[in-house]
This record gives sequence, C-alpha cells and structure tokens, in this order.
Amino acid sequence: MAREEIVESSSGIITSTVDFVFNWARASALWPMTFGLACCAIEMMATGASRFDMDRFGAGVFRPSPRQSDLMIVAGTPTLKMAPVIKRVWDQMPEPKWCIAMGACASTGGPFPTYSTLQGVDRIVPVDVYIPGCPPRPEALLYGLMRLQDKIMQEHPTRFVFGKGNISQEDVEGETLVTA
Amino acid sequence: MKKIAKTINVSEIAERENSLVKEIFSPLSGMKLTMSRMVQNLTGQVSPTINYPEERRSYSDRYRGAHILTAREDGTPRCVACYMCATACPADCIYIEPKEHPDPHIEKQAARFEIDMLRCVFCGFCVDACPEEAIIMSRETEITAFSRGETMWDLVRLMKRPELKEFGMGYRPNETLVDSQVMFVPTEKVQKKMAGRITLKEDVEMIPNVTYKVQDDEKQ
Repeated sequence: MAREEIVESSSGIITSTVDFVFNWARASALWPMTFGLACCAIEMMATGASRFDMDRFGAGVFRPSPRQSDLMIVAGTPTLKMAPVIKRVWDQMPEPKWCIAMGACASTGGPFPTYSTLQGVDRIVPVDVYIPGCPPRPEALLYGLMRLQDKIMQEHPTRFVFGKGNISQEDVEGETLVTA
Repeated sequence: MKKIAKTINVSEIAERENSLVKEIFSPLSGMKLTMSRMVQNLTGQVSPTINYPEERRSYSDRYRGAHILTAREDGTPRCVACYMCATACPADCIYIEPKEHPDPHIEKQAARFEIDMLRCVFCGFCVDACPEEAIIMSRETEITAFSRGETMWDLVRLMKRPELKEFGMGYRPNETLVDSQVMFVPTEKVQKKMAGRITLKEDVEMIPNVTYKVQDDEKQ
C-alpha cells in the first residue's frame, strides 16, 4: 500500500475523534518530572510558582518519581557523570513520554564545550522541544510547553491500533506537523 | 529546713483552656485567613498570576533577548565582518564569513552570519564588542524549536524580525544612534493559535516602547 493511502486510510472519523480525545487528555495533564540539574531549575521552580503558574496548563504536578511522570524537563547542565542517570530515569518513565531540553546547556552544551559536559541531552534521549536561553525565562518555558502541547495534539495514538500498514509516527508527523 | 517546691496543677488550666468550643473554633479562626485569601484570589483582587499567553510582563529596556542585525539605509547589513562579536562570544555560537563590499569606503561585509540560538547564552558581549552597532538585542524570548537546525539563525533571519512589533528592542548601548538608524516597519500580527484553545487576543496590552517613530513624536 502506498504511503499516502495509509495516511488517508487511518484518518477516518472514528480514529480521528479517538485520537483527539487521547491527545487532549495527554496534552492537558502533562506531569513533569523534577529534573533540575543546575540554574535552569530555579526558573523551572519559578514557572511552577504562583506568578507564572504552570498549573494553568495542567502541567504543575511535579513528580519526584519517573514512574508517575510523562514529561522530563531537563533543566540544567548534563555532565557526563549525570548522563547515565538521565538515561536511566528516561527509560524508567512509562510511555507516552516527552522531553523538553530547557536552556542552552541541556540543548547543546551551551558555554561548556568541555570534556566533562554532555553536548546536548539529545545525544542520549529524544528531545521534543528545545528552549533557548540561559536560563530561559518562565515565559519561555511556558511557551515551550504550549508548543509541546501543540505537538501532542498532532499525534495519532490510535494509528497503531486501527491503522493498516507499517508506518512510523515520524513519517506522518513530517507531513502534518505544522512548525513555526 | 525542708524546702517545698511550689507546684502548679497544670491539668486544671489545660482542661479550662481545651474546652470543646475552643477546639472547634481555633481551626476555624485559622481558616478565616485562608478563606478570605481564597475569596480575594478567586475574585481577582490579589492574584499575582500573570496569565501568560494573553498577558505579558513588560521587560526592561535593557533586556537581552534574541539578536537583531541592523541594516544600513540601503538595506544591507551594517556588519563589517570584523569578528569582534565572534571573539567575545563565550559560547562560540557566532559564525561569520566575510566578503567584499561594493562601496570602497567600507572594507568588508558579512556573507554569512549565523548565530546558534540554542548555544547562545544571551550575555550581550557581542553587542558590547560591536564597533558598528550592527548587532543589538531584542526582547524576544519565544524562540522554541522542535529541532536543533531550526535555531541556526542566518543573516536574513537575524535582519528580518517580524516579531519585533510584539516584543520590542532590548539591549543596545548606543540608543540614540541605533534608534535613528533602525527602522522597522510594523507588520500585521499573526494570529497565534496554541494547543487548540489559547489564542492571542488582538487588543491585548503588549510591551510598551515598541515603535520608535511614535516615541519621537512623543518627545516633540
């Protein structure tokens, strides 16, 4: 079956409605994990506090355990010593899960192109949203969160249940995901 | 002589103070403060929350956000590719390639000027280092990306800044010179739709001091 046909066949009214309900539920209750590694964590805390109030987006329930969370906000400098821990914590999170690389260090290594710093957390975990800034303002984190919610709303969780054919989600997203 | 210690029967006092009425009302008196705060919050009297996508906090005039490359009057970049900013950059996020400028009075101009916004730490050293006021900063913070390639801002992206109307200019040491040179035309604002429910309002009060022509009129 051609790729276009597969995309079309799994976008029926039932599956798209179920998709919407799933996506809405997932996007509206992102439980982030407390993963503060450095100074970005202070801004993350400020985002959770009452001035910016992440709870307005349903994402204020910071969990101390990876088993209960579905969004990892890597806030801070990932050192090479910390990298295996980040990887293990990511693997412990149940699907579906997303990852935000917050700040310059977590995204690219930032001002530390050194032997001890991991040059971007996307070398060990798949990152959904990158937020520039050193550290990013709480507004920037909220904006990144909204972009992530946008991304979640574009997903097709039922495609793998009802869909025909073997098509990866990345293939479909590349077509439908509206960037910028 | 034997000393007799003075004793106080505590239980009597305790019984008198721990009456049932007090046990009921003392938590309530504590709750009164909580409840009054809750009512004030719900009615919006004391709420400290900034409802972010609709309301924004106004930043300082020296805020260091995303960079702007300023232009000459003919539209070419003011940058002369002197590598001062790239040298001063602590994160090594600026990449410049020079080329010849047609005007013989100007030595060089930038053929490529790229800033990796993800690696940038927004320290403002490039702005301080620049001898031509070619690079200044805006107050833009919303530069989120889905991939690392999206944040490599090239010359065109750094000069064309449709977001400026919304965010305004930030850190620029030589304000009078910059403001006389930099002309940005306010464009139509794009209606942003986010997460299926959040929409930027059109008439929302944005950050002040955005257009410089208006400012000049106010001075006169």
